[in-house]
Amino acid sequence: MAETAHAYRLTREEATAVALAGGDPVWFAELREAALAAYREAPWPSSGRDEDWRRTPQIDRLDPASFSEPLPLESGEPPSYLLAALLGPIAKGDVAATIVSDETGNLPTPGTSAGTAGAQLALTLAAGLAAESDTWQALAGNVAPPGLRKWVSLNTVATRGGACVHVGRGQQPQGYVRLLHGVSRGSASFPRTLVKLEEGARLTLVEEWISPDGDASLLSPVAEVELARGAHLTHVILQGCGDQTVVQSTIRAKVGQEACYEARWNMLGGAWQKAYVETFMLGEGSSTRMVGLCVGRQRQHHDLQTLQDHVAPGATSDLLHRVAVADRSRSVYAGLIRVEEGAQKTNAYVQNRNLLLSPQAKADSNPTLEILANDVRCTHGSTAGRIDDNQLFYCESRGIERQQARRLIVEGFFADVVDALPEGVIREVSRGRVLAGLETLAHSGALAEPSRSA
Amino acid sequence: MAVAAKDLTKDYKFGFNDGDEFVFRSERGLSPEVVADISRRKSEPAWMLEFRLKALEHFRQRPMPSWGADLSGIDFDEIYYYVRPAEEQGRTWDEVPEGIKRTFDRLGIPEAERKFLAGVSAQYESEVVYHSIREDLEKQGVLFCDCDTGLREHPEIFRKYFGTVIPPNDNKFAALNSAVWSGGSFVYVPKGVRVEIPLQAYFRINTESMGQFERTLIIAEEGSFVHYIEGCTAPTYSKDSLHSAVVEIIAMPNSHVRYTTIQNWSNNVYNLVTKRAIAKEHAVVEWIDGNLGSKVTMKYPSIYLMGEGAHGEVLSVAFAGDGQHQDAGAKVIHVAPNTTSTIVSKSVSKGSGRTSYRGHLKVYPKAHGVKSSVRCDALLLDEQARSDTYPYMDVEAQDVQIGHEATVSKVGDEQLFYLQSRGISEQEATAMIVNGFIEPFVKELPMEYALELNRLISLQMEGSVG
Repeated sequence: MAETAHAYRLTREEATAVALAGGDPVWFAELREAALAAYREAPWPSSGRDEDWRRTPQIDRLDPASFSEPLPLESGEPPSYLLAALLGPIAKGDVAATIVSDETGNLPTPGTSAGTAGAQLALTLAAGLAAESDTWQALAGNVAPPGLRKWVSLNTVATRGGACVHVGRGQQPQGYVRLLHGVSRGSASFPRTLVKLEEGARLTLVEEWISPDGDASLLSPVAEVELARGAHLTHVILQGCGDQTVVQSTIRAKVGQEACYEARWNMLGGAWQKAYVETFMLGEGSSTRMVGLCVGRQRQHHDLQTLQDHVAPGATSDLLHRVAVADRSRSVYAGLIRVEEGAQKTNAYVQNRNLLLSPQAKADSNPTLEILANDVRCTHGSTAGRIDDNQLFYCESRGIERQQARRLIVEGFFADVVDALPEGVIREVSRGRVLAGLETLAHSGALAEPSRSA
Repeated sequence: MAVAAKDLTKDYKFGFNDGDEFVFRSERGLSPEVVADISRRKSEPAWMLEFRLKALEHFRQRPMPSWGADLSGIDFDEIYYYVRPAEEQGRTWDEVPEGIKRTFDRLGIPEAERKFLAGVSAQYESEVVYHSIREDLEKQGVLFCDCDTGLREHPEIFRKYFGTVIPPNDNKFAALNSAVWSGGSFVYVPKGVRVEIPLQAYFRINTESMGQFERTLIIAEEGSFVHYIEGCTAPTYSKDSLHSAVVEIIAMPNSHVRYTTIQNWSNNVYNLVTKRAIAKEHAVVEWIDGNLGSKVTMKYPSIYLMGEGAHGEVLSVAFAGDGQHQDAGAKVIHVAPNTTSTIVSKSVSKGSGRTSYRGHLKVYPKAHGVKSSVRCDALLLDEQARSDTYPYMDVEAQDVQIGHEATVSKVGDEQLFYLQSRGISEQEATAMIVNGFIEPFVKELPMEYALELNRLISLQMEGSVG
């Protein structure tokens, strides 16, 4: 594998030029310094050298420096693609607060309203760091340390905006907090999300990652989540980026005693994506439940890597990732269940189901186990296959046309993932997007009978 | 079962040492001179010497694998690469030297022979010293001899297939074997011949710090059937030993090859083995692979399904006790359409033992109609025990059915309680559950091996409870 010459050589000047609107708190500036050092130290990822990147060689040809410097805002309004999403169907739900960011930093949110309770729940990154410096100093760079990975370092150095979401002890606010992270054509954006739920708090957080179709862009969000005892977070990530956007994401959650982290993801857009979702069961009786789906079309490439790290005893974790790949798209899944020494009575499960809709599509599945305790129940399952002929025959025998039958079967394949989304507008919007995706698949012939001669 | 367990001592059963008795031993360490010397003493043809020297070059250039088990304890300069125990190959039992015979007696080889086993090719150190084939096999044209004899007496068949499944540059340890190989079995089954009784070979290591690099080549012609069995035991020594074998199997159309191994190296042996089979149209290849001993084992029997309708099966058991690491697995590569495969892996970790399943399942784009299922079950007996599962699945075809499942758990409390409530001690109950856990493997073994395996498991389980 040829060594990449580029790899975004950030100078100190370039890095220190990046600051939040209103300026970084001292500790955050120091965190950026540490991240810059870590970024310089680590080599650029390589598909030939790094196990994480073995199946995603796109990384070898990616140069973050090729994206343009963000321009300062002119109108003070979000660009039209963001505005459209902002006022889109999800706005009609029970929204407690809305935060918007793109490559220039956080943006105003015209046309949305938030009550005073909502305004306290979620703040822009700059406002949050200023308002509750101590809380975020203990969390930022702690859940996702700067040197963890090249992309986490880069996000820490280059972030201009994002959100701070803090729910106080015992609070269970109505509605959900909505975060929109966008990136414009030709730009690179590094939104940072910090989430802290105090004891017994409960929240639904919906993140939308979006960008316009057309020119290449890069969106690299990092979210750090910490749940105190008995807290409960439902974290929805809807990745609906444009067809030329590269997505590099990291979601990391530390789950405390009897706390529960629920993650839901839809990976639909982007040119290619590498996503990390990593959860740490740190408290006894903690649990995570992760349910996601991915639809790949044309030459899309989606690579998801998950970790369920059981540190405390008596915790449970459960993951389901459903993938349908059409055309020449490719999906890569790697999921590790790690049970640390002493984490007895662990119950962990991973399931990855792959539906191959075209002879040229490809799905890699690599669920792995590393078990260092003995009193555990750890299981994973993985399947890959095309649409079942028996199911098709059944539908056809009831007078359903073949193409329609294939669509129904794919829809049914995703049903449990869609139904795991929060009830109401989010679930319906998500269902609509998955179905629309299938509709265009049917239209493009991707759902037609595949030829065996390929 | 439980009664048998009581009869066994805690000592390693085959951990005796008869004292070294050899005719020639090469210098320690590895050099082109040592390789040339091995080749000259065997009076090999020039192409084999060239093959060995090329392989040595590959070995030197290749880095040590950075993945898998810890191999830092191997010192390649401290190993004897060739030891020849006796001048002539024994033709009858009476001609075999007394000391070697004593060792074999303890392993039960004469008894095995009395049980009408097809042939016994017992490898003591680097050269096959005792060897017999039943006359009717010879009449059928079946060749079963050591690999050196195969090269000498059947050069046309040997050269055609040797090194074709596993080339010398395949990996570092295959390269090492290709450079210094000695002994091992050569099996050739002509078209349409069914070898009804298993062919057996025993492999032994007996000289301290001596590597054993046997090379096995099995060719099953069209429509034939053969079952080859290899059992391994080694005496316990204080210094680390290296075992690095290469096994190549060629299964021609409609043939059926079954290869059974029970490996029980002593706990200081590095066992780094490359095993690979090619299955042509409608051929069936089965690896039945039991890994009990050794310090470190890295072994991934693989099957390349090259012909339409070919079927591959890997059934393996790994048992890791204190300080042992069994990094075993299976590879199945579906190249042709309508090929099928099944992988079942069972592993047990006890004390500070570690088992890892490392697999690779690949389906090439044109291999439509592929069906494959991979199942890995691990049992953890102690708090310090560790189990890992790394199954790689790489599917490039659409019209396939692939399933993978893995579980890791401990011995069920309810099962233990049930057995104990029937008056069975905890230790016996645990041994019974472990034996039940590996039962899908054991039932595929010939009777005497199944018994031996059950006894070995019981032996390993001793002192594991309370």
